[in-house]
Amino acid sequence: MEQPTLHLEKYEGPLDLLLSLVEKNKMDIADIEISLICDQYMEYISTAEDMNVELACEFILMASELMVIKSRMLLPRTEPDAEDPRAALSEALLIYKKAKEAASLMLPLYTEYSGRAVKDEDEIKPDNELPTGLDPESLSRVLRYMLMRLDAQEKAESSHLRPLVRAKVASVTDNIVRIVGRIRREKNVSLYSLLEDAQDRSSLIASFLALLELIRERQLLLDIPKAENEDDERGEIDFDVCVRLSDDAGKKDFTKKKSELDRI
Amino acid sequence: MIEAVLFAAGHPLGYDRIGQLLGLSPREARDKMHQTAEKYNAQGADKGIIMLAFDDCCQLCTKEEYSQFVKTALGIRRGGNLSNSSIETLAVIAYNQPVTRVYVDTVRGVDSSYAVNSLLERGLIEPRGRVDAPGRPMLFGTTPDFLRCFGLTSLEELPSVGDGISLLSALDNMTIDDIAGNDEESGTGESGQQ
Repeated sequence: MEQPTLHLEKYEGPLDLLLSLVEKNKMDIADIEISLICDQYMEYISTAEDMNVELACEFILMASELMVIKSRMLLPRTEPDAEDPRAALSEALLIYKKAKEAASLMLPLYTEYSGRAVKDEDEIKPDNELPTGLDPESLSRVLRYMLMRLDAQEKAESSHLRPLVRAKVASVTDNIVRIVGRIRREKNVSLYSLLEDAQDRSSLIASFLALLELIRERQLLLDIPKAENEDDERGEIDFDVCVRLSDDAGKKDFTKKKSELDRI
Repeated sequence: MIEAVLFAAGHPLGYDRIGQLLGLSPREARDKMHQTAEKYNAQGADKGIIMLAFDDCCQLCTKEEYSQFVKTALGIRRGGNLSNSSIETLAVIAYNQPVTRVYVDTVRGVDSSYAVNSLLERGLIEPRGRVDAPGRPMLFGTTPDFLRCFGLTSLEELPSVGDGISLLSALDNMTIDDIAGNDEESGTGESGQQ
């Protein structure tokens, strides 16, 4: 008869323990020696207590039930065909034994077959429709179109950039010299004719600035014809207005100003 | 065609649905599917999946010999083993279904609520209605997933136990009170009345 030793065997429940005791004692379940079993059972419980192992409350309940059966067995039977006090216990043990057996038969099946995998449900939702009827041709066609468009854009941009890159720097000073020279030669020149020589915007601006500078320095005088109507006084600039050099034109030294003007 | 539908569904497809597709009654569909599955599996030596035909539904699933690869490939760490209490609980339910939790408690001699819940979560058991008794306790039975995980196609295929005594009939005459020696109560071991 084995006693529970240093390591306490773990049982699923009191029936499990009892079954184990019955088997260890090589008893017939139908004819259990209650006294012995009860003692061994109680020993297990007290060992568990000593080792501070917590047992499910069902173990304690079973202990008391065993006591009852044991005491009933000790009493003389009043009626000869009264039920054997152990009967219920025997039945319970038998049933539990079958359940354990079934479990042990099932376990290897689970080990073998539980690895089977199935697809999750609802992977294909009814309203989740992927577009159909697409073909790769249309993809490449669209791509080609986009590339062409991109090309055209690039060309356009470079043609815009080119003038800026290549534009000459228009010098204001040069224009001043030019304008003065021209007026000397031609006596009466209109503003318009002085400006129309400009080939591009930068030159135009340079010419205009040159004019403004000359006027500021009083080198250049504007002959403004009398306005025909009083209302025209504050009208727009009339580029047909003639310009002429003042009497002391050319006497002023422009060289100092040259660098200043060029910076404009 | 059925193969395509089973694949798309993933979950077990009932024979009534299949019957509709094939223009057969559910029973005819079941017979046909049993045949189809046999042929499918016989010809599927180098396939990775098999067709399972149960009593009321059928399903495609992977072959168990590839389970390790599948798990590694998909990074599945679920499944795992069944604890002793779980498998005892499952055995009691499987062989006697439908039963209540209290029935299981009585057979095992311990509180089995944790195990029952765990099995529910894994999809191995399912509720099967309630008992018309005080408290209206719930009855439990096994699922097709249970059959699949144990390599069975029907409950009849459960391995027979001992000398064939049904657990149920033996329990008819027993209550916890009886064990304690209280002879006044007659057997009320039928599920749910404790």
